[in-house]
Amino acid sequence: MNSGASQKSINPGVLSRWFGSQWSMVCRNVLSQRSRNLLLGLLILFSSFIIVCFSQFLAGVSVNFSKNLVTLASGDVYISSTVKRDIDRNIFGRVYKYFSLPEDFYNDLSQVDGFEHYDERLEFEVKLVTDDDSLPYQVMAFDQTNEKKLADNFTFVEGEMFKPGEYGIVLPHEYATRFNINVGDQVRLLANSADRIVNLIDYKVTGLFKTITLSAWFDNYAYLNLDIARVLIDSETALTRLNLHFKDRADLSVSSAQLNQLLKQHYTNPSQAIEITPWADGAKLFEELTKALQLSYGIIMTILIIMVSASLAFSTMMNIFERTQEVATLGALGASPKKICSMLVKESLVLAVIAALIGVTIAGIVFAVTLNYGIPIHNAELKGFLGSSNFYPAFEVKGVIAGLLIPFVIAFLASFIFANRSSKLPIANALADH
Amino acid sequence: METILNKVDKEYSLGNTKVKALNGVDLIIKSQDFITVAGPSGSGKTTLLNMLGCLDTPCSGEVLFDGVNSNSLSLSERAHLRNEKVGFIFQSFNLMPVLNVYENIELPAKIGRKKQSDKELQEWIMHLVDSVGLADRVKHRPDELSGGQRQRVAIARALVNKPELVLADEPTANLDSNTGMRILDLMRKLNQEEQTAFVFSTHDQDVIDLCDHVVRMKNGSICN
Repeated sequence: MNSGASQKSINPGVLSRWFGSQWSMVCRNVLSQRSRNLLLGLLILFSSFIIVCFSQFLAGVSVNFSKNLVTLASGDVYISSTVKRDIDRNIFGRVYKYFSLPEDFYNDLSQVDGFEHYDERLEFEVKLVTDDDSLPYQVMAFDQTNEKKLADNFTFVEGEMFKPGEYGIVLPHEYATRFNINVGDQVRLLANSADRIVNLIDYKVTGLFKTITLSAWFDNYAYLNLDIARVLIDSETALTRLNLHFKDRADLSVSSAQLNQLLKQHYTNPSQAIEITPWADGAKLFEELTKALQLSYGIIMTILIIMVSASLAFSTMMNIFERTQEVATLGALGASPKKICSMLVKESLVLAVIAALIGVTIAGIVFAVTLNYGIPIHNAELKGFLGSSNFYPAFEVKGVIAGLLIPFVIAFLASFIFANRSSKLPIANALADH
Repeated sequence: METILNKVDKEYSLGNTKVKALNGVDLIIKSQDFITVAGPSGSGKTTLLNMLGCLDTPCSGEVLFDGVNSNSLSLSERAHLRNEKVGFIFQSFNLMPVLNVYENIELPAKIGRKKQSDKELQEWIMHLVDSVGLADRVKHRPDELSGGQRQRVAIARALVNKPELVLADEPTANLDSNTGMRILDLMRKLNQEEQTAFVFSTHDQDVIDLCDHVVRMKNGSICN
């Protein structure tokens, strides 16, 4: 016996405590069982990557879409009249909501923090008189020279957008077809003026359009030039909505307070109260669309999680049951079921943490690259929906947490269930079976 | 440690068929015994060893370890008893592939409650390593060892907690005759030096000849 000589050649206390030795075994098992752990690791990595990418891309869709609609529809903040519906109606049941803002107000807007520009809109109900019929419809008037993006939002099936100063009107293609209205036809618009008298003016149909925003909202209107619409309602300054656009990082609560102050200073019409509304508060449409997006995200996520859970659980089960003899040997050597279970669970968790971190990191790289360059969009409808020819993802912290947590929790649960079962199998049977 | 099997029955189900592996077995194992359990395949040798090693519980009868009935113990208590009192040498060695020779031998000591300092444990492991002639292989993993070397690691591992009983299921079955004899000599030496009881299951005549007592089994019963 020559134990003294041999002692020099080994590293004492490699497995210094059971706890230490357990972690040592855990790490070595993870590293050494390459083929079976590689599959499981790749599955976890892929799950994390997909969950994170999916959430960032979906957040990107939400943000891009919201930005697009904010630009096209409401601005970051808009000013509109506070309609008292019970009294502000005429005999046709129409709502009067015209208001005018003094020039000083427009001049002082540049003093508001983060202010970029404004768009005036006029939205009112008309009767569209054709040769055969008189049809109630909604009209929206805008300045197409200032609102280039909105003007570009229309895809003309026939004809084109009216020219500045032209007594032209563009109609939704579907509506025009239904009532047999063609490009070049003259239509008469009957509307209540700002002074509550009825005006009647002829307009030429210059185009029939389809919007490409995927939002039916834009198809609910016929469109006129703002100046020409003001002739119809007999007011050079009337508007129903003033959309205000701010810089990306502007604090809208501060800006709104400053706007309020400006309004108090310049707007003194006691018969028509007006109010300031941030876009998100005033648009049910946005809320519904966001909810629909979140719902679709939830459904896809649930399907993804079920698929990931099933695959992970199956792989974990195979991983553990393949090692029945190893587990039984540990049991024979005196490891309690609890210790064996804990070792197997730790193995799964180490693998899950490493794979999930790699998956999230790769997703982060993909996010950074796509954020820098964007993904070119070739589909016209999608382009219109997102309001841009390139798609950009948006950072979503919940997605990152989900990408780390979901595979981790599934790995924990699956390994715990199967490790617990495996560690309690009769040792004699487990050894005999292998 | 005195291990007593008292009218032990064990029955297994194979589909709809019930197989009686042990049939009213009575046996007493005392310290320093060097016993062979011999008999044809299916005679109940391995089941008997499983009972002695607390790896299995009887359908009827009792297995007493120093007077304590194994049936009265929980899974964890049985694990603890196996760890402290019993050493196992498996026919297919059952070494942990990710651990080296030293760590494989060390494993039962680390699983169990701490009885000695790290230094004492290290000295004891190195003593065992030298005893089984593997001093130059301490850092090798099982896949880098021959069958005989693996079996020697398994023997050292079985002895690391200084058990009172070592159970060896066909320890020479996977070894050539020369290596098998060297392993048996080693066990005999350890039996004499460490006062450890050894129980083998085998149908190898060389092993049977070397033992003090032979327990012959047939159809789940002890014949002699």
